[in-house]
Amino acid sequence: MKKILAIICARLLRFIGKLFKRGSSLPGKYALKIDPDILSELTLPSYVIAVTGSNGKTSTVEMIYQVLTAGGKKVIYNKEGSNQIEGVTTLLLSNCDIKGHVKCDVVLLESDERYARHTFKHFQPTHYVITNLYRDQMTRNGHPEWMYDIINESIYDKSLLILNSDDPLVSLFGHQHPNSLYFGINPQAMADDENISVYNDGVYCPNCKAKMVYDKHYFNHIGHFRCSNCNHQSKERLHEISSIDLKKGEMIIDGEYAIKLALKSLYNAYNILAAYTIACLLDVDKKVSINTLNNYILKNGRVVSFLLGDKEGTLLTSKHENSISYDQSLRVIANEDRDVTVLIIVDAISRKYFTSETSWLWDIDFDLLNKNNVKKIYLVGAYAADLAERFRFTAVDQKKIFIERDIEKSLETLKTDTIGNLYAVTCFSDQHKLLDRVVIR
Amino acid sequence: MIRILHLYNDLMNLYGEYGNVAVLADRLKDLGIEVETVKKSLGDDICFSDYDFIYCGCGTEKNLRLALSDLKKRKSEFDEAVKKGSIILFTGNAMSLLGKKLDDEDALNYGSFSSLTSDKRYTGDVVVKNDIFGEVVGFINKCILIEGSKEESLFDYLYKANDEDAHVEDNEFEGFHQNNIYASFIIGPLLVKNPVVLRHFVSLLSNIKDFEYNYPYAEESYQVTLKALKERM
Repeated sequence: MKKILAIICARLLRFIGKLFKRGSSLPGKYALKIDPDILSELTLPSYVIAVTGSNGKTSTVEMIYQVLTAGGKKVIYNKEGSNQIEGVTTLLLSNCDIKGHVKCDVVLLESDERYARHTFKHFQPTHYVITNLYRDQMTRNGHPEWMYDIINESIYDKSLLILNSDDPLVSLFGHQHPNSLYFGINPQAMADDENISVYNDGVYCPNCKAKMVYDKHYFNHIGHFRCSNCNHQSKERLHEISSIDLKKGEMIIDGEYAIKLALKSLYNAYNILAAYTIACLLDVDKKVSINTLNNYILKNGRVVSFLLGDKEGTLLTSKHENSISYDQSLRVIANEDRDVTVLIIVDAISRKYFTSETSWLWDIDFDLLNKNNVKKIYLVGAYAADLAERFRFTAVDQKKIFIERDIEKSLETLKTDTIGNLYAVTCFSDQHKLLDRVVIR
Repeated sequence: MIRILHLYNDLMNLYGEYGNVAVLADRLKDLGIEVETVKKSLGDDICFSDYDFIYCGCGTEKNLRLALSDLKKRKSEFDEAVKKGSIILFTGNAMSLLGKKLDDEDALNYGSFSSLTSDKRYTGDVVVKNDIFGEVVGFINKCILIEGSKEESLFDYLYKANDEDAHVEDNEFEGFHQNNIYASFIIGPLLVKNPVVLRHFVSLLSNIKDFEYNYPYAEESYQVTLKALKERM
């Protein structure tokens, strides 16, 4: 009886919520109050896919949704980004009948890495993708090893883990959970790269803390690695990127499938590979997957073209408190051959909570902007001075740097003073302060 | 010449702590002083007495254990540097290395405080204060509680964020100071964020009391954060 009441309540609240364009957590929250075990009582389809990790969850889930749908499967997923237990409950109860049968072929969940352990107490994914573990939002997450232990609590033997073989911390889950397979980059796939990040979390083995040896370093601790002491090393890949050219925006998967990258970044390539791996595991025709992923432009607003006056601009949404996200955006700019002006906005560090913590700026490799074609760099927002002080410790010519606390004023200036294409780098918490004042193309 | 040692630079550098060493060297150079910064870590030969300033930053809990185990083997050399007058600054959980105990393990025993590891984490913005530095801003990110006499503590708390994610009630012991040894649980480049603290170490190392010190961005960064945190007091 409690189950039926919870389902009715959730669906009613969902209906009302949609009318008022309200968030999707509330119906689940109340349903869980009525029946705290509701999630255990549902009948789920054969496939429940969860995606977690520091970066790329939303993008990966979006691409998995597209390939599985193209493959003829009925998929439901938490597209509104409500990735904690309440949001997941809303999703499932909105898509089940009164007896609790969830009506789809695949449930696809973006799972918050801190809260997955609460959700998966009640049911477990059949396929559990872990993309990466980076220094991310450490004001809340502590640090990657702390998050490793928390995610580990969400893993059960019945789930098949799909792990990034090139992330030493992520692939370590496979040591404790043999029901794992891996995706990654073939070490021959790209020309020699070196770890040019400001810091390196791959110096010591996350398993035994002996020194690690890298045959290839893609970025930060991501690469082809082996421990000098224990048996922890890059694992054999079920699916792989066989070659990749970021400058041209092309990669080959499994030696034969060419993909054009709409966003020329390595971690976009990893996300595509993760989606492809899931599609293969669920028997989607490979050509259908490749066609869907080819030139796939993410619809989650991470890359936005705009006009500021008559100046063309591109917003590369990056996550504050996540240096690797910033580094990836800066690499996209560094790969540009045209003249560019760069606008970096740090105004509110988070949209969800307050903090004034700016240590993460010191983990970003701003020296990537030390290029002749980067003509001007505007440091803008309440934390413009923090950015300015950080830039004093780069090799970037200080004459190229302009400081402005007021976002609106900086945009007025940029209407006339932008040289070349304008690249804006900022976070979801600040991007509307730009996008509200430009013409989105 | 001033010689700076960045100790365990690849192990205890979790929140951009290398910025502390960089900014200190920068300010000393601006005074016309020659500076050499050396990075040393596990397995390296280290002669602590060769350095005027020894810095260690924050690490993961596992890395802190590694640092402790390594540093204990070098305790007599480290003692020598302390006696000789090298200035020591340990920040973040590296402060625990300087106390009596880290859980059941003996630490370096400069302070009589002990560090107890919890399975929960305290995270939050803070404002702390003392007579040497005035008001200091920063962020605490730790799963260690300090047990010790408040007299040994370097700072008094003026403000501690205590939102839903600050799972652990922190106690009042923050920072440690004994002669030329300084420590604080504040993470990250706190010398960048707090010009007065930085100036203190520049003055100690250079033996210059009065000097022009004009870094407007660093000062503004401090003021912006102090104002934001004071609004929450």
